[in-house]
Amino acid sequence: MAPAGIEPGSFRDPDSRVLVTGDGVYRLLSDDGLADWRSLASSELFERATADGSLIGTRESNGDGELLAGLDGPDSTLVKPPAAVLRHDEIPFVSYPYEWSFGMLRDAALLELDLLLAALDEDLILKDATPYNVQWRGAVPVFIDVGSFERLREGEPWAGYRQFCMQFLYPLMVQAHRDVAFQPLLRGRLEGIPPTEAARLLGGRHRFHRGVLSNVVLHARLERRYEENAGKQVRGELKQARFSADLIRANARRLRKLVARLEWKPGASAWARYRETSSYSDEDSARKADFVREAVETVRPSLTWDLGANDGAYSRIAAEAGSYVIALDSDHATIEALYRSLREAEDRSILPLVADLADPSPGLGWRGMERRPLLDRGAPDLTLCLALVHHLAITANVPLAEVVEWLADLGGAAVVEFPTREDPMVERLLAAKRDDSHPDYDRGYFESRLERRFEVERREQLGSGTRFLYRLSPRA
Amino acid sequence: MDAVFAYLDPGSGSMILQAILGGVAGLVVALKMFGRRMFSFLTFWKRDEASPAAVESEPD
Repeated sequence: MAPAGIEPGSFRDPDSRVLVTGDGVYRLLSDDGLADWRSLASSELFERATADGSLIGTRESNGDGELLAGLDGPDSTLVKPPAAVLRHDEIPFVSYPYEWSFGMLRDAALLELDLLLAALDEDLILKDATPYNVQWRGAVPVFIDVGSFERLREGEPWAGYRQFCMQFLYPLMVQAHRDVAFQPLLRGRLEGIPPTEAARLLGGRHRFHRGVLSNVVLHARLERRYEENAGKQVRGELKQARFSADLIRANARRLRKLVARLEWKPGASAWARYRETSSYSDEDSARKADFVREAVETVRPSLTWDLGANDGAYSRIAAEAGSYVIALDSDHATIEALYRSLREAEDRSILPLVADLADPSPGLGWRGMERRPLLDRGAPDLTLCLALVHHLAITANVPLAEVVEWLADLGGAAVVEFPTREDPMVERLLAAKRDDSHPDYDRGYFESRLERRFEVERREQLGSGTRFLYRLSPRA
Repeated sequence: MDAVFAYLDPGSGSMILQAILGGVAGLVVALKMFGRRMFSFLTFWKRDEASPAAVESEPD
């Protein structure tokens, strides 16, 4: 949960600001924002989309006088005075597009376009098109920004088209056509990929993929050509030429078809991490699963983090026991495979995210606060850290003691697996290093560090002899 | 209500592109819009090639 106060990531639209308090998530509307909200609230789209869960549950908040009173004083930084307050249902864990897999970004794009098309049918439109307006309940996307809906202005094109290209379409195309990871691009620039740069990334033969010449190459040319033209003048001319909502509809349908056909086939090397799982004996896997099950049933977590989630086997065990689970893995292909299988099942309790734990998402944007650091977005009650410690300690060179400190600082209980130096996987990782490297990678030392910060509730040696499991609870 | 976008700059080029891509109906809008500056529209490709950035992304 975010700290109480005006949500620092919501400043862009002055008609609609998000406020987080100890007891919920609210939205402050300006006069204009309120009129737009009333139009949305009386639409069939709103009823349908909130019922099927694709739009966040929202109602006008009664007794909001107190909330408003505190916000209208001299300390307020609000651009427009708040006229009304909405209250939103809450999302279990906030995530950002640079943590999603290809399929997640694509499904979020399709949701955006479906809502745009539905809105147009009722003389409404989306004023923007950013994936930050989409969040997840497990593997099911939900559109959270009701403030994006506004009344349609006849004769004006869709203001969100350029943003849709920069934050949805181009990242998807770059991943699908060039197999270049889109996450670092979106993390590196919150505004997304500008048309001119997309045109360079998708130049040469790539321009002949469906939709690239029109949405990328021509887009970039027009942008350069009309750089100096005032938007107001162009808008006026389009209006005079009778630009209509039918054109927006036709373009949105065309975009939808284009996005739905984009596919990413992960390269064979990307699936390498699965090999590690398969190197376990069946007996070891079964004992590991039992160990996790016992831990979950003892701790009864409401939020579990599965670090290095791989195929999500342990995430599923935690979810079956009623926990919401964040399944993190640094391998995009692995998370994509997990997402597809969860999406298929319409899972609402496991959120798969691409995250390198040695380089987790930092605070980004204005004041470094617009998008919050991954580790600040909700503390886990239980952390599953299986087949990961050796990757952090050896591959990422994190001192073993710091790995333990980090796990303890997450704050909850933990299940940790430690493979000894004799483990085949550890031997392989060490083989890439000098003989005397990682002297701290030792089970005795690891256990002594654990005991400083945790109570070791249970310890088990797996049948293969080179792997140890620990169930830990934080020291008070 | 004023004909002003809420907060996002839609981009002049991006707005024009939406007319151009809108099929037959869009073409009508684009042609009407460019009626007055038809000349500059027809010379659009040629002009663009003159800028170095555009040359870089020209087909081989």
